[in-house]
Amino acid sequence: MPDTAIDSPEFIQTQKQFAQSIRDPLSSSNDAQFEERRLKIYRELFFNNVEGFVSSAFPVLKEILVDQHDESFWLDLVRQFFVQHQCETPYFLEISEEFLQFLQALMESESDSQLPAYSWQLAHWEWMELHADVACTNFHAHIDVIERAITECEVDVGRDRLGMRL
Amino acid sequence: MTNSHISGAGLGLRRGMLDEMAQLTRNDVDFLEVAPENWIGVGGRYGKAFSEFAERFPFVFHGLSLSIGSPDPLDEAFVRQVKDFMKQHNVLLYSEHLSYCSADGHMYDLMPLSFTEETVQYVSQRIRRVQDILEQPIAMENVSSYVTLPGSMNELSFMQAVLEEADCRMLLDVNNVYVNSINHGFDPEAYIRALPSDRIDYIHIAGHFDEAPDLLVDTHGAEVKNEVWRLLEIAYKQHGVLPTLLERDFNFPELSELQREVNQIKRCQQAQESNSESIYA
Repeated sequence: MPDTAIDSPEFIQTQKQFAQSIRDPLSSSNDAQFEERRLKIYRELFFNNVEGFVSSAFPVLKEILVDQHDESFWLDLVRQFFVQHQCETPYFLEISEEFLQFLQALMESESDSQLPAYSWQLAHWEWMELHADVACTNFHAHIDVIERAITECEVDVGRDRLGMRL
Repeated sequence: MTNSHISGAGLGLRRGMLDEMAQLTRNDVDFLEVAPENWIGVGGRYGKAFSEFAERFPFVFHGLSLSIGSPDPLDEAFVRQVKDFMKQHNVLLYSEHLSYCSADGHMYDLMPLSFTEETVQYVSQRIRRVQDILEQPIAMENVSSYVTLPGSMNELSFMQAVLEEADCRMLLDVNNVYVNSINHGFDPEAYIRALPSDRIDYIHIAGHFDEAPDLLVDTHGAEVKNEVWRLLEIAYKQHGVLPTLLERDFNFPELSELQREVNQIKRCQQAQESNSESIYA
């Protein structure tokens, strides 16, 4: 809980706690004593919604991770995103961009990550594909760059050499 | 008085149904609704399709991400983007939810507010700020909920207080009134009758899912239930015939099935109009 919560009005604290109990059911207490089956509706609706956005944006990444590990490895990754990453965008199509940022930070911070080294590049490529369909600007030039990057990744070239950020 | 640029029966425009909905005419539906969050910044064939719809139909924007009651700061840059998008497509009505969908970041779904006097002040001040930026009023919708957050007020008195304090409009969702009346145990008719007629801009109607006898979930994924149609009639009797939009977000049936429900809205409206004519004849 951030320090600011200490001085904030009670309704703000109530609402923050409720949001937190939806985000992270395992490490939040049910202080307000909500009926479990009612709380469960929020937890499932919210998580399934976010998981749906991330899955539909990154179908190949999901498939590879489920193949290499299992379904729960993927769900745990999305849960980690939902709990740890503060999404700034109000736009649903840009949740994918938030996930990319999360993935990048995650791979930089975890030297022993169980994610394949090319995960971020692959996700970036999938993001470009999705956005080529809806974007106002022309993304095809970007896709060429990413495709080349992915080819290079297969011989294990570090992502910092790509020299591009969102 | 309502916003006069929309009337009759409307339907939500979905990206997944663009091709089917392209065949609709003004004889089929009177107006369309979208979430601006799904269309701002969208170009390509989707952007082009949207512009074509916007030229053919009156539109209302029904936002999802404003998060008016959030502990997080109001995203004023976003409000300005909505304003620009409204100007671009000549959209005159913007509605949002009396709820929050972010706390230390966006969560992309709606949570109920803690109903207190302090919350009324906080939310109303933020609504007024949005209205200042937009240079027009916004309509706040009563949302469905499955828990009651600790607070000293009930939902109806909270809604009434915000409408007064923020001097804003209302979007009355009759399905949400019904869902909450079961989930939280109140009289849905009394709730609807107690709302201020002169603040309601339009109505939403939708289907829900019966999780348990005392727990309904507002899925927008099924046909409208009889109890909800009855509440629509009560709303018309109390507040007059208002523009009414059918919401359907999941489990899409054939367009003809949605059209059947849109036509049922029209019949309700006509029945109420002829009733009131016979009263005053």
